[in-house]
Amino acid sequence: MKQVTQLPRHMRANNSVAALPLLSFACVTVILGTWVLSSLMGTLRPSIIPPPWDIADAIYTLAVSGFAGHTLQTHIITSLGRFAAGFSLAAIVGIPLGLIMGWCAPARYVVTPFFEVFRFIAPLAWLPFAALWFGTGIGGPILIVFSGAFAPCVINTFHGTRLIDPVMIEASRTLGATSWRLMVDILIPGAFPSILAGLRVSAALAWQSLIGAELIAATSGVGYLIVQGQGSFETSIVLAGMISIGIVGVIIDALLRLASDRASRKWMAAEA
Amino acid sequence: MSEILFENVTRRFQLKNRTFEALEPITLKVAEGEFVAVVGPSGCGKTTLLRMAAGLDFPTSGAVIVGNREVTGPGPDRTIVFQQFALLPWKTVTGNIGFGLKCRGVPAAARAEMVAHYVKVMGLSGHEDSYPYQLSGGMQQRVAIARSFILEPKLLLMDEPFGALDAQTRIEMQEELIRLMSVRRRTVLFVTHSVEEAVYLADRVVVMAGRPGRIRDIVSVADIRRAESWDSRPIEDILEMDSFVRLRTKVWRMLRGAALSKAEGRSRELSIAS
Repeated sequence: MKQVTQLPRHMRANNSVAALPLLSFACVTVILGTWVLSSLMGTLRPSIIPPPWDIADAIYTLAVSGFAGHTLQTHIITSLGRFAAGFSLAAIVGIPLGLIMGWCAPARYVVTPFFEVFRFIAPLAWLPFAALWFGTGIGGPILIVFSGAFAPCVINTFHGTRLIDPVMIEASRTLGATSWRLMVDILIPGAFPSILAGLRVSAALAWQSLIGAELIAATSGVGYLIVQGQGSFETSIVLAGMISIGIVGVIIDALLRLASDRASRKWMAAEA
Repeated sequence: MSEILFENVTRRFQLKNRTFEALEPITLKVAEGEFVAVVGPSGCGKTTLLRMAAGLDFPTSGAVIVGNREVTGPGPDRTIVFQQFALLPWKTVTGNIGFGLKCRGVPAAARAEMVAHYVKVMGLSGHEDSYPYQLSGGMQQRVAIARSFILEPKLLLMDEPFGALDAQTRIEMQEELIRLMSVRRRTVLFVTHSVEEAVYLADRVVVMAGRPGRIRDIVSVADIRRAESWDSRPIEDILEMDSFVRLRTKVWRMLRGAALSKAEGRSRELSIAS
């Protein structure tokens, strides 16, 4: 008799799925607990990793009296400003470029060779030029953020245009759509979900690159805060900075996901 | 003038390292106001023929002439209805139906009026602001047909338009098409897999054979259709009429013949190979 194939456990419908978020919670608790306990017992020396309460204290002190010239909030806001500038610049240039590549084949062939090479160059490799061209001005970090955020904007937008059903494009052409109409009514809305997904990837890379840039060439910002913490052997300040980076990153991503979920609900439903 | 003329049309596709003859020289004329259905096995080139009339594909040799002008691309005199509907998912029913008019620069007010008319004609009232995914397959195809008809094309090209619909909806749509055609006669080139559909709808049924694609035979239905006034009878009556059954069987035999000769050819190839 032929045996009935069973789905692997994680694919079977069951009620325990509701309990899965608890697993995240439990895991975090265990790790935090181990950290607290080993700090208390002295197995984990503060010079390796400072105890959690030192970090909480550091965050509090940073927020109230500041470090490296500014409070934690000001450092974060400075970083966010640079991030926003570089990220929007990447979106403003990258999305239209991706659309044009999807729209007209010659543009695709003009851009691709440069693009294929440039996208493998890590954003931080631009640092010497950022310093050369912009000195210590705002332009440097923006350039770094831009170079991190640019490629995913272009690639996702371009792939979004390629994912559009060719029949839809043919139908529009027989209905009399001009190239301009194709761009406005087919390519842009058709690539929209991909564009939003690209922006999320791009934001994550931008935020990472920015911190990298601030570690080396800046006199403010969260990255600078970390370097200064390192310079004065304040590991709890370093960790406070790292945690801020993580949390701000999560918030940026959550906001973008919220926006993209909202905007693409119509599109996603259409694909289903 | 809206007749279609395929003049010694061939089409060769270049696959990786071999060429594929999709169409042998084909000559076919669809007269003004005539409804021609094309049936044939998959891959016989019937859709290619239709795409060439639409200006979405071009012959390797020969010419496709619509109304005395050689086809060089899509034109305002021709619209096409696809099996996959090909509606714009981000536009409402109204937006989809009016899209062609918008492309042609018809002002919004005039557009709204015409769209409203076709919404009513196609039985889409109440769904004006729905998105395609909210509609059934039949409804979606109604939108696609409305989007074509609103442009008043002289030539209507239909590529298995009802192929993706369930049997009942399919019959309703066939009747609907007959009704729309009786309101205003148009030249139609209609590609289908269904012999029944072809005989029920068309004035002439072109039977094609595959590899390479060629016309095997043409069956004329127009005289019987007119003599027995099919267009004013319900479809279930026609489906059991002797004349209909005879024509359907005739087309079926031709198709089978086309398939058989293909199978013979293949077995001959096999024997040569072994």
